[in-house]
Amino acid sequence: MKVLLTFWVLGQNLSTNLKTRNLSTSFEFLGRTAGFQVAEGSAFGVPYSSEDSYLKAIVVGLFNTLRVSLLGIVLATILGVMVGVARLSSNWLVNRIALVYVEVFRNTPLLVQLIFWYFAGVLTLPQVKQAVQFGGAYLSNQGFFMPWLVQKPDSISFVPVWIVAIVLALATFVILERRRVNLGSNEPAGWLAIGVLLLVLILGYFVLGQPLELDLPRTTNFGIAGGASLSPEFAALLIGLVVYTASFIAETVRAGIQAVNKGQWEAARAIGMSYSQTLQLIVLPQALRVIIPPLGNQYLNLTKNSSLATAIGFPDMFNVLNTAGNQSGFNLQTMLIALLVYLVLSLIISSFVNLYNRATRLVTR
Amino acid sequence: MTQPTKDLSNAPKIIMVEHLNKFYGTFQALKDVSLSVQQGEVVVVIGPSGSGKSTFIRCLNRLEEHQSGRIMIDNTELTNDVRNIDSIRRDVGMVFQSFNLFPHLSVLENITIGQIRVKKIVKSEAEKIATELLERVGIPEQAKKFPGQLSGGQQQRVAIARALAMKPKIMLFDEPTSALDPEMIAEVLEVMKELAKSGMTMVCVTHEMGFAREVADRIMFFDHGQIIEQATPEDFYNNPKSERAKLFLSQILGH
Amino acid sequence: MVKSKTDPVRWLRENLFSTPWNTMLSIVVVIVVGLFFKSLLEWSFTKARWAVIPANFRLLMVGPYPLEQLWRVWASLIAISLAAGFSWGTSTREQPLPRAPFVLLAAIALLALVWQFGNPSGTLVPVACASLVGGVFLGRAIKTQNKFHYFLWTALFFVCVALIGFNFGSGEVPSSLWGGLLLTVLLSVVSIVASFPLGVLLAIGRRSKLPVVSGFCIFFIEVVRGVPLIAVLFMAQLFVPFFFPADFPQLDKVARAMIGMTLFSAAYMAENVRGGLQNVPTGQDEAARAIGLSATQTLFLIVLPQGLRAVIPTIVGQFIALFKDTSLVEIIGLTDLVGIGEAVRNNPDWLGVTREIPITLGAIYFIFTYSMSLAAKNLEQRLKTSN
Repeated sequence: MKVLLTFWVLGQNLSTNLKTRNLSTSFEFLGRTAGFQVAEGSAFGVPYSSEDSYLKAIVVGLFNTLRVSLLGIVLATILGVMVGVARLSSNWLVNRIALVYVEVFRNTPLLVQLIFWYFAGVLTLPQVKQAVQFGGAYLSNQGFFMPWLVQKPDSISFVPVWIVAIVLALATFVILERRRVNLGSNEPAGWLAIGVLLLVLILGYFVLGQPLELDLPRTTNFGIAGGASLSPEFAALLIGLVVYTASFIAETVRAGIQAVNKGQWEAARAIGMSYSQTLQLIVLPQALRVIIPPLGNQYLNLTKNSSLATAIGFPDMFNVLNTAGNQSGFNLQTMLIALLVYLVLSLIISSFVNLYNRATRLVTR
Repeated sequence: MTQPTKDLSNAPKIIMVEHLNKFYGTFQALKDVSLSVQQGEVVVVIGPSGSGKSTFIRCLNRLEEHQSGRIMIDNTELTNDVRNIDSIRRDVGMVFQSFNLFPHLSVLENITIGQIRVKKIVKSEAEKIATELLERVGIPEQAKKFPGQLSGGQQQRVAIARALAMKPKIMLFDEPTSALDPEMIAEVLEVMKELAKSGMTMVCVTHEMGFAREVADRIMFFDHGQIIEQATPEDFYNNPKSERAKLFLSQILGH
Repeated sequence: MVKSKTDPVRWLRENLFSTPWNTMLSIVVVIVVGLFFKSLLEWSFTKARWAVIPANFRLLMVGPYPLEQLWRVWASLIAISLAAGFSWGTSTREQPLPRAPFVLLAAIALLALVWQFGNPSGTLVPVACASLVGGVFLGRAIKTQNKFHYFLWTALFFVCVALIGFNFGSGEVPSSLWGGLLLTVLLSVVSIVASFPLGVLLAIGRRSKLPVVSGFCIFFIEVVRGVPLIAVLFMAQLFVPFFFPADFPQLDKVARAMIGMTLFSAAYMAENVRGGLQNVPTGQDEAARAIGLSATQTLFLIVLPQGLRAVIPTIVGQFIALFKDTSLVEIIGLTDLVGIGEAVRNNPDWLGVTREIPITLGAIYFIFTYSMSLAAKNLEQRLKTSN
């Protein structure tokens, strides 16, 4: 009863306050001119300027968030799995180094790590003129620039070739694996599939009249031009998110593999399967069941943590919404948009995890 | 009831253990164990818990490592060399107390995976062998089911079939019926008896005395990491010679 | 007699060089790590300006807290040490005392005495260590019930918070002057303590048969868990005043941050508690109702105590995460540990200390978080065995 009373009082206060402060709850401000610059990013490939609407600014921010989150998820998974497996290595050095990595990065706040990577890392890189170079890439305090393959102007799109290459490679892999199981043949399916991929890509390149060229970064009077670039803010945010999240993923992977009953290892080794066969065919399929749900959770955390971009000036969606809110005075609306978008992203990731869980359930009575 | 006596006088020694010692840290689990097993022999290992009998049998396929002494399986020494271990394991089958079937694979797949991946047998051939084995253990109709859908006794029989699929020369059994409900023990023991009569070399850790009496050629009594007594089932159960054996038998026969 | 201990050469062989792959790996790792440590140590001893830490130590610890009121913080610290020692002593009554923690405490006390000789912290740190030790012996000597300890810590909590802020006639310390590690600890403790009852209520409400109640609870929990903490903090800063009448004294930033963190933590707490409640066997509920207990009684006397006990380790884990999450208040302008760190880093007197500050902050958080995790593991072990 008392709980209800408290709620009622709070609700009353809320409504009177809203009325007296004359706050509108409309979203029409979204159409107005934003009047502020968003440092990087574009909406659907269309660049943004301060003449554009608030809505467009927010969409740009959303794209930035998605960019850093997706890339972060992929890289963090790769790094996390590597470190997780290293944690199980019989090599004492590798094992302990992975342990130190995990404990250090899990036990310090992400914000502190981001401050380090940005202010003490990327921003302390040399100026453009003395940028660190390796392999054709330039690392400077104005960002990372690396060679990138770009479409030559007025040339045929290379995208279809990629699609054909990937499809053929997958098909090769699946067919060869089937043959191996059914007929006991011995071709290395994985390597051959990669070979097919490369072959199709190279053939496609020449057949279409060499539509791609290498865009090399080079120093100019105004800085570095060319190639694909990562702004210092994006680079620092990405590194921070990946290193932090990978440490959690590593623990999840380790726990998942160790959760598989030791008896499974013994039974597989007892019929003569090798360490890698056991891992690949018996342990990992069972471990994945335990790993995927918390892994999905980590992906969710990474996406939410990308909002810390506010601290280092990267214009992710939250940062943009914050600016938009302060600039226009419609903080309530911008915060609501933030809530909504993050909720939708959470829901999307959760449903993927649930789907996977459903598809791989162990069959019991 | 005694079994028809086998003629093992010319059978080669397929397992030879010499001065085996095993430590867990400072605790010595096996003390200077020496014995040999002939091809076709059925040996039953009994003893109180903690006597080292499970440790011993697990040393035979290197699921446990021994610190000193020699183990020879079919004239090949069991050492740290990984390739050597894997090849020996193909000739030694093991059945575990907790079955350890692969839950994400069907019954048939459990039996064929070793054949396909380790012995590189073609899938159709492997499935034929698997189906024959399932008939031999009495559950051919369960082939497409998953381990989670089977009873304990059925699961253990699948485990035996899985081990047999590798055509081992020796079968090790680590308390195969201890985790089963009483009414399912018989069906597993039937399979083991049939296996023994077909001439398989078997080393079984078990408490099932009826089984031992019926098919064992030799009983080995373990206590505190050592073999205290070895005898034929008749001699051991009716005339135990050592004090510890007498004590042990009185405890398990008491109830 | 067989040698059962491993000697160094054999250990190296088995752990680092057992296979060609491992050997190569070990060599590569040694080279890479060696280079890393070489450059780290070089920087550390030549170019790093570590003096920035001692120079700003007080700021980092308590922020802009007025000097003449620091006695309040010291009093709280000593009281907490005493209570902590007492509880620890009581819980380890039957076991012999491990020597390592006492050696550590003695070392800390000595270090403080020597390094800060003449300063208040030179005497007060040893006093705090001494009170911890004294508490341990007291706890071992006097037999007390668990209930006493619950009361002790609850009372201590309120006393400390009051001590740190309120007016006792000799001036008060407004929360805007709370900063540094003090603020971080305060934020975490207040949030977790306040979020506990709130989380339990939410978890119970979620199971309610009334759709309005369960709907609201589910809505709150899922929304708060689906958004970043920074969004909750910003919203708290902007909108908390809306829930109070216009003439209510303005809640300051720290209070609003506390409310934000509490609400955030409560949602996660609710999920943890829900997990615990689900794991209580339904037989318990049936048995309780069968002897005539009402639904409410069953809940509070039978189900909750068991459910909560099961999730204590998870809740401790949540506290540890919350402790790290308080760092986000730097973004809304509060002077917590990270906030002070940033202020120091931007101080023109200390231009260029970009690396020393985050590294030190990281180390401080690490020490706290790691020790809490160890204590949590210890607690989990003891809970398991005592059942």
